[in-house]
Amino acid sequence: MTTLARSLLHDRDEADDVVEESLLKIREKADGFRGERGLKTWVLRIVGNRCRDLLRRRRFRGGRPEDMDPLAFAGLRHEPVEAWDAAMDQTKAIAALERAIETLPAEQREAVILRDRLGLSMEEVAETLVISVGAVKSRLFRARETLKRELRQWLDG
Amino acid sequence: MLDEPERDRRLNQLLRAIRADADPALWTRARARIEARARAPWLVTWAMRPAALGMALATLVAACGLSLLLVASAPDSDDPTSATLIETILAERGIDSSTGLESGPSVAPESPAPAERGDSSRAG
Repeated sequence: MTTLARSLLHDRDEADDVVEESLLKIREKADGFRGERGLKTWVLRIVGNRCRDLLRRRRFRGGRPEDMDPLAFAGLRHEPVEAWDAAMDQTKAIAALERAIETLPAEQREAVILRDRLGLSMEEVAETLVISVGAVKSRLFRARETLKRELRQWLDG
Repeated sequence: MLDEPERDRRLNQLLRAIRADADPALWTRARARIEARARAPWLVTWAMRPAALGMALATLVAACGLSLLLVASAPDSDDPTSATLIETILAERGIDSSTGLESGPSVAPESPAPAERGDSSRAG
């Protein structure tokens, strides 16, 4: 929940508020949960919906200062990628990745976070976003193409 | 230049390397709010919902509209054809309400009752 909210909003305080509100909503709606869909996708859908509402309202708000580390501002941390070249500055690569994710349209951003960061299956992502698996694949393809283009310097290096 | 599968693999590694640690204070705060809600009476809990706020607002608007409608449909006091209750009573008794002068037979003021008279003389 926290990873999804912080990855989507890139603002630790806002994301934590969303998680807190989502927990209250989950408690409130728990009696109505019939279990026909997975608990994980149900919970993530509640968080995702709240994040989307916030992103829509945020259109008129100033963004994060340019010089601020996007990872620290979002309240995210990264684990070292062992297979990578030790000479490569992973911190910079990950900061570039987060900046690139921020530029993605909200629906592509959500799909890529759910699938590639949280490791959900295609079906689970489709269930969470209430769209078809085909639509998930299309959003993921476009999102990944943008990310690869933006991160060319790091992925090819 | 790397091939496409290798670039995909690297992108996956980058994406998966990022995590968020949940703030313990967040869970404590959420638990406290859930417990506080559970203790509150159902009416208070219901009143705190946005639906209740919307319903209260709708009721207010409806009440204001109804009031305006009633005020607009009430008889106009400036209307020369309308008469107040006092004017109607005076007219029935043949008194001109504009001058206060009677056009009919005069009515003598009622004399005080004998008992009252006795009481006042005793008091004096």
